[in-house]
Amino acid sequence: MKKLLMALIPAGLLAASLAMAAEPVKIGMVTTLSTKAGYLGEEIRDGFKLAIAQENGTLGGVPVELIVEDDEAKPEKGKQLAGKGCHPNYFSVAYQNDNPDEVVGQYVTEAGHKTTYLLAPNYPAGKDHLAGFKRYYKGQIAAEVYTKLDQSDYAAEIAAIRAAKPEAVYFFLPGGMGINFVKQYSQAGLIGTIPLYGPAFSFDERILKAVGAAALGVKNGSHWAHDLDNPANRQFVAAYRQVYGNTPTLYASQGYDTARLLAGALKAVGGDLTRIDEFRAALKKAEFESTRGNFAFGNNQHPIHDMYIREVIKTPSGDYTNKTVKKVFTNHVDAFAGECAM
Amino acid sequence: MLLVIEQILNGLQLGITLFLMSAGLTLVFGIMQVINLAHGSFYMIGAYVGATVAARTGSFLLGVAAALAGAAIAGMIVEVIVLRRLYRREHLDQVLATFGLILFFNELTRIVWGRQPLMMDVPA
Repeated sequence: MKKLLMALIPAGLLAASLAMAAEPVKIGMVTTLSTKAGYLGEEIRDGFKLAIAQENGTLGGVPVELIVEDDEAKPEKGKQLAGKGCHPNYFSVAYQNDNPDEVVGQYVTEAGHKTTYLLAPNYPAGKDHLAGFKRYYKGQIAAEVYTKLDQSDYAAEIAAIRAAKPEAVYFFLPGGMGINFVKQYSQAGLIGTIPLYGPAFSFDERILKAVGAAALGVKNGSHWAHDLDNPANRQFVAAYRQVYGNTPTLYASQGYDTARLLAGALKAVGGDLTRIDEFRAALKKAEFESTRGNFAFGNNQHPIHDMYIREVIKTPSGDYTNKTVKKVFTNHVDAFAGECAM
Repeated sequence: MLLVIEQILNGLQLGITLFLMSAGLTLVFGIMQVINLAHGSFYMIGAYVGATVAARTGSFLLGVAAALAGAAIAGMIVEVIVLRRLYRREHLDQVLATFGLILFFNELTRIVWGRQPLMMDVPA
């Protein structure tokens, strides 16, 4: 999921700085539109476009032109910029990759589960996510199992979990892997006996359409939820539902927040990107109403925000969605901020 | 003990699935002397058609019937259009052509069913 971080770099900053104020400011967006992960990029783009549409083609009163490029979900094209590699021209509105794992680690500790079984695909992001969980989990790790990437059958792992009898299970299995795992975990009859926890990725409203009742009651960690009670979020969720006909996921909220952030900074310099230092300073101040409520940039220009635990519920109309249960961290700083020398 | 029994059943299930797949492949090669690398594509089409019909009708049995019919029809079309021309040619030509079919069917399923995986419930 590293690509989500890159997705929100206002890549057009330098290109845009040459444009005259009279011409529209060109904003470059690199995101994932093809492959199975394509819906993430779609939502980021749609959230961003919604913000532009709400201001009739402008952001902060400055006409803008959005240019979207597909990264084909190839994370090798990206670069680590959160810790030592932090850079004054790099801002991330998304979240630190392991934020959702950290919050669940803390919550599982508070819930008093003494042993937890961990499961993730065997690739760098899998290890990053479990490291995030372990950073805040104070209990004992029953086992840490890394499965093949894109595995679809988890019968062997589920049998091993049943035999290990942990008090909780935490998994990071994005996309189709998580859909299969949660369904199989529920079919194996474990969901009622060993509580399951995960990051928000496996429980967004698109994934829940496929998982359905199997995910009911599962608690997951996120920096945003569609029911967060702040004016910016209420307005965003209502507008998104009206325009696109479905409930936005955290990806859409990110795209929207990014556009609102740029709007604030563009307004501060009156659309004149030759004043790049002022523009950068305005971005850093992050003076916009974020859909996630509290929002500020840390020294590494990654967000400092609140982290929540949500629970999957069934709506009266028969759909599955998330309900915010608890705010676990307030103004949470990511783990890599200390490595950044800025 | 439960773990051992469960893992034996899991192993059997996976083994039988692989056996069914490879039996089809060797059958085609043994009887018709054709190397059909796209054998798995027929399997995939059957699975997609089966999942779609089962989801639409709510009946697993109808889904199974549709999966068989879908894979059979796709196989016949491929036989008439592509494989019929390859019987007398070398195996390398067959490999090349049927590898092309894999790419074609992968893209076709993406166009028809989209990028998201289809999900099926265990039949009640």
